[in-house]
Amino acid sequence: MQTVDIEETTAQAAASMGDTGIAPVKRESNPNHSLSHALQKKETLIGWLYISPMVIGLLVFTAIPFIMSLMAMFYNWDGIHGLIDSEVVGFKWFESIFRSDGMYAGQYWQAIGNTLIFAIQLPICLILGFFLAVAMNRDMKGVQAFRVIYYIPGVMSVVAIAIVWRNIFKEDGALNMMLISMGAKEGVKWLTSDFGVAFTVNLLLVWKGVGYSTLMYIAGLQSVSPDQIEAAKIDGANSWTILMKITLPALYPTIFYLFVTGLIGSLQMFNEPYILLGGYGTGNNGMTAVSFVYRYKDAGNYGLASVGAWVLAFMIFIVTAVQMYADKKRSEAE
Amino acid sequence: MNDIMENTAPVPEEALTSETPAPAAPAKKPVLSSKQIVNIIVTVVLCLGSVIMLFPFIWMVLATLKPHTEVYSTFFPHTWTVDAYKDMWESADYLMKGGMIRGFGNSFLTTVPVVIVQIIVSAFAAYAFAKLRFVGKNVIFLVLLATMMIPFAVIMLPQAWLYGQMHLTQGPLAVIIPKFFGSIGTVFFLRQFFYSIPDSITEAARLDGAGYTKTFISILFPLVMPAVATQAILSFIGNWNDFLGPLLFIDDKNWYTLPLLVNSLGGDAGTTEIPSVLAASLVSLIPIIIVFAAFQKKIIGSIVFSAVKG
Repeated sequence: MQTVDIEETTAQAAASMGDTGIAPVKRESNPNHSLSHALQKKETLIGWLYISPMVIGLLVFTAIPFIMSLMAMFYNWDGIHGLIDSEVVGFKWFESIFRSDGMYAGQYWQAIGNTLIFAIQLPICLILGFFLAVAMNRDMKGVQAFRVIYYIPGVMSVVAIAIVWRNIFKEDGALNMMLISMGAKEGVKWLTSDFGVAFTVNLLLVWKGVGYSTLMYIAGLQSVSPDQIEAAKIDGANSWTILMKITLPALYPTIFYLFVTGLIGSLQMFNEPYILLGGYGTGNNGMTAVSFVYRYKDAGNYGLASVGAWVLAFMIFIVTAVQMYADKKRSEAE
Repeated sequence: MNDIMENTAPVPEEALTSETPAPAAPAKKPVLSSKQIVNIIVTVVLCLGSVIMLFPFIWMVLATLKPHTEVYSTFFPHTWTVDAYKDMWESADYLMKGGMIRGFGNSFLTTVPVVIVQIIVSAFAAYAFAKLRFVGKNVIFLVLLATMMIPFAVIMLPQAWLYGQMHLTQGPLAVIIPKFFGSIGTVFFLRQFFYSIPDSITEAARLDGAGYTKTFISILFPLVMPAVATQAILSFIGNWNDFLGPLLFIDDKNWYTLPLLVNSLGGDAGTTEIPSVLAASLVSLIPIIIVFAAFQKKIIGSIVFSAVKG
């Protein structure tokens, strides 16, 4: 898709240069002409000048760290001394994760498992958001206000939100106090038991994320033609059939987009469980893949942390590749 | 990293405001049409949902107005008190010299300059990518796009080390300086807007003798100002709320931004301090609440646009 954009621009630029006539046309038709050559040279200079901060930033703050993290996987790097000065340990960190008796295997795959458990919120957001969007797309009073209200948790600082949730859900917190006052024998371990953590973190994520899905669907719904729905009604289709057979298919591209971007985001989950649980949870039941990386960064084992990060990155690349393939298929079909 | 930052694109506000046209009115008119009945049911359900969406915020506000003994046991305070807001200053002061005021200062320092410089740098690059013809343009643009796919987890460790070597982590600079070099997401977003400006406008300006920079500043930049404003708002919210970046790159507690400060307060808090921690959380949200209230249409519109595009 991006490639197409660039080609379009070039074509556009060429076309509009034809329109205006004068200097640019000379440059097009006679590239060796000295004046137009100078102009082109100047434009190249200016162009590179304008993008130079981006290029420098890319080299220093992305490319160098990128290469270093690739190398770090094979070093015993503490993050204090230089990487090159550190001891080369070969595949030690890989073995510690990938061998079943590896020292960090249990913890790492538990973290990956937790990450996937915390992705359960994604399909829930997508389904719930669909029905909310249909409801908020009705011609009735107050829909604007609802759209705003449901999105509020999405913009608020995750720290403030997670601290509130912690105080509501902790063992002697507001929710359990209420349950006990209503007759429960003891409180639920929302933030300590495995099930409690999975439930509470997912609930927090749905609460925080459903408004975004809803807004995206509402935008997608603008492409559903009212005529088509009218026609279906005349044919005697009921509301549910119309919803499932006309509205839902119209939203497939939105659903796909939300699912892929949501999955990529979800695989990189860190903030919500880390702040809500004040760390990695009981027996690491709240530790995600990125938490694992952060933990071993903190512990001064940058090599292990880098391997953990790259295994995660590999999963994300697979998701991205599937998305690109599907996008290509779709644009070919159209 | 941040929902808002990731999902941005230009803004047609009609996508937001337009609603499905009402179906033709039924021939006979009962007291309530079936459509009205459904509307009432839907409104009631959405209202109940709204209560859930707002409940944690309401609970938070009420909790800050209670003595600590009541925080968990009551919903409405029996005894109303503003002690939490007084204690908040002290406990923050204990953690970091200057307390909440310093936290606000740090947050503004790591947000406002970043928003301004990042937008300007990105706008220049977006203009170059959209309107100028130069060798290597497409290659660089594709490389920049490709870097968006690199997960932050991969590069964050060497970045932390690198910033340490540059002596940026002792102050707030490690979360400021790197962002001065532009944001590829913003470039991508603004580039679309520069495309939509006819080349004839820039050509005309240039024929009048204006240089590239003058053309950009006096003609093109004002034309994309609405898009720039949207990006600035989203960038402000994203940077203000950022947690992992400051957590990794700010070593000195005195330079903690509000999210880090509030998180530390929450982490150390005993039961007696809960109301003041919640008060600090609430106060830390005020700038976001103001920005969201003032610009909610723009913010929501920008999200909706990416769906229209996608």
